[in-house]
Amino acid sequence: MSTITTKDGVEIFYKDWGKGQPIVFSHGWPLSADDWDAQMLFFLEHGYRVIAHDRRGHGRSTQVGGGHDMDHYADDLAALTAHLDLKDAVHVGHSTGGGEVVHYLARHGESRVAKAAIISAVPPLMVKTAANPGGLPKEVFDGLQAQLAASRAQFYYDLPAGPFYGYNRPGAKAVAGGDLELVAPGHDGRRQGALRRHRRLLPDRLHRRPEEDHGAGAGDARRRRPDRALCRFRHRCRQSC
Amino acid sequence: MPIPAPLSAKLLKNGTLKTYKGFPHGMPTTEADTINADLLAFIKG
Repeated sequence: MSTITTKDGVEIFYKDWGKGQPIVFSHGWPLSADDWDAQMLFFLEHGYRVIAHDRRGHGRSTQVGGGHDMDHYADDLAALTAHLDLKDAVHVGHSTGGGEVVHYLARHGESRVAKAAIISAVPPLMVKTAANPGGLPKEVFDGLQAQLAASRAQFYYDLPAGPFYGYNRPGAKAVAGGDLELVAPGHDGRRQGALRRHRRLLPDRLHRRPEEDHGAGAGDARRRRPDRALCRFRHRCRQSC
Repeated sequence: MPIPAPLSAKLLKNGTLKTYKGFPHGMPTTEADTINADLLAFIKG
């Protein structure tokens, strides 16, 4: 895996494909670099060098407990662009990643940068304050945290099903893979790459032997039965289980 | 839901605002064809 280590000891995973003018993608919360696959492949084909990293605490980067603020995010991005010695780069940020890009430019200057585009992004400020009366009340963000703490599985189900991808709209066509792209990093950031596609996610979960989780005996057939049943149900089982 | 983008565009010296009616928050994923084409035009422009 390609990683850099920041000065506060956080490993940042990144992808760096192709040659040409670099385009650096900063993903939204709570996703990972993989959320940019549709862009990475498109711009790679158009002759660009495409780079995307997993933000600290996301995807394959260190699941660190601290530094979850825009200063650290910007500094992590600066560490990456310095490490790769990028010139004439285009930065693209989605959601939180848009904040990361803007904060990076403000803190570290534009010397390496040609252009920046931010999409559905948080700048200048999401939260409602006296100076930002059109923002969202702080209680909205507290509510998201509370929902995640109460049931992370439910939360990672509800979020993509709702306004994130707009699947709650009349006539919208939900894409299961799209849901699970968001579900997967929430469930297990370290194994996110392996889990992100639902065709892999489900068999991977299904094939996990119960004894690994619960310490039951290897020959305990009763505990294996639900795995087999689920595999058959999903018609995705190509292994004997 | 408040949309901060118009304010961002106003604050920038060389900012351009592009809006998409009805696109969801995760539009790079759900509307990749449109977003990719517009990003390419922006980068080349």
